[in-house]
Amino acid sequence: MSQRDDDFERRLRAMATEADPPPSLVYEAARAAFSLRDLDAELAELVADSLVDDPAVLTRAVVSDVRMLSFECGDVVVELDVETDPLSRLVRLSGLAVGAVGAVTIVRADDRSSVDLADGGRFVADGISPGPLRLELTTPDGRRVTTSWIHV
Amino acid sequence: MAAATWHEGTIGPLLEAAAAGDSLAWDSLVSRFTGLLWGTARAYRLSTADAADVVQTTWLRLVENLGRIQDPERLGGWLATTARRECLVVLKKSRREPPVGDERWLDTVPDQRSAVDGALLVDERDSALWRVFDELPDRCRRLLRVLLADPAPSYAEVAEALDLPIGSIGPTRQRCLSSLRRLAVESGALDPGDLDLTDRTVSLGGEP
Repeated sequence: MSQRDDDFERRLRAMATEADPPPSLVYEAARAAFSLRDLDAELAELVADSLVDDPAVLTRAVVSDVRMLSFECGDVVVELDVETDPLSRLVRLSGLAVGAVGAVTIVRADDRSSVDLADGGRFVADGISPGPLRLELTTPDGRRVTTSWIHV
Repeated sequence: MAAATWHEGTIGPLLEAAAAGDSLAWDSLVSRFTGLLWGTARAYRLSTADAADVVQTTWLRLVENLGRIQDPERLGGWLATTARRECLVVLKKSRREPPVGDERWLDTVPDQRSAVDGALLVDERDSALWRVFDELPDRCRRLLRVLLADPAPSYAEVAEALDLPIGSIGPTRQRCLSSLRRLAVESGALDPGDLDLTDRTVSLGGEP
């Protein structure tokens, strides 16, 4: 590895750091993420994501395609459909929570809101702004379950 | 390689402390790796808003997985992989959601280009060099953008961020730095004297 390349790389790094550094808000959000740790809830991991799993997505130009995600934690299964309004860019979440009761809470980095589960565990939430979110649920025996964070 | 300030063996204890609830340890991890994650998102030409979301989602993923990371010394690679996957999700989403109006289009198109034009570098020659950098062939621009993260990432982290074999990072870096020097001399951002025999030899060998 040449000294000349190392020196050039250092100059370029100084440039990149000056021209396009991570905004301070990005650091703040990263530090604040720690406070969103939830040690009391069980994690329902993301087990399927149509955007990641379906190679055809890359070559298809479908306007109204729905992104489908699945989360699992033991008996709790959440199927989530994500649709983005192309005009407003607001997101509609609709889904099915199996093994959960009451309401589903949509957790954002700086905000929480709940929607009731209908018969059979269906739920809908409209007008969600883009960004990271997770869902929080309660099992019939009172355990709390949270899904992995996703970026919608 | 740089990365001299972060020695092997420092990440494990920080990760352990963060998992035990130490927010200062968490902040240290954030300082160490946010540059790598930002560089990764920019390497894929994500807009500022999308890059910010990808970096935040990546940190939130680590929060939920604290205590579950298999090999703490490879945390940077884990974070880089997570960020890369989130970047690909954003790119696939943007392909799926066609533009519906000029204003929206401007909103959704990755704005790395405007980040380059708008970048205020005090040194004019640096500005010229930064513009040349942005015009490098994708493979080179992408590799260097991750590599130029501050603090400097390891080759293993760069490899994870771009899903490349680790053995290819060193040779590609050398070739890309050479290409950049040649292009910069052609556009007047560097003096011809900045080229050496290696750069000229590489140029005869064709583009990477």
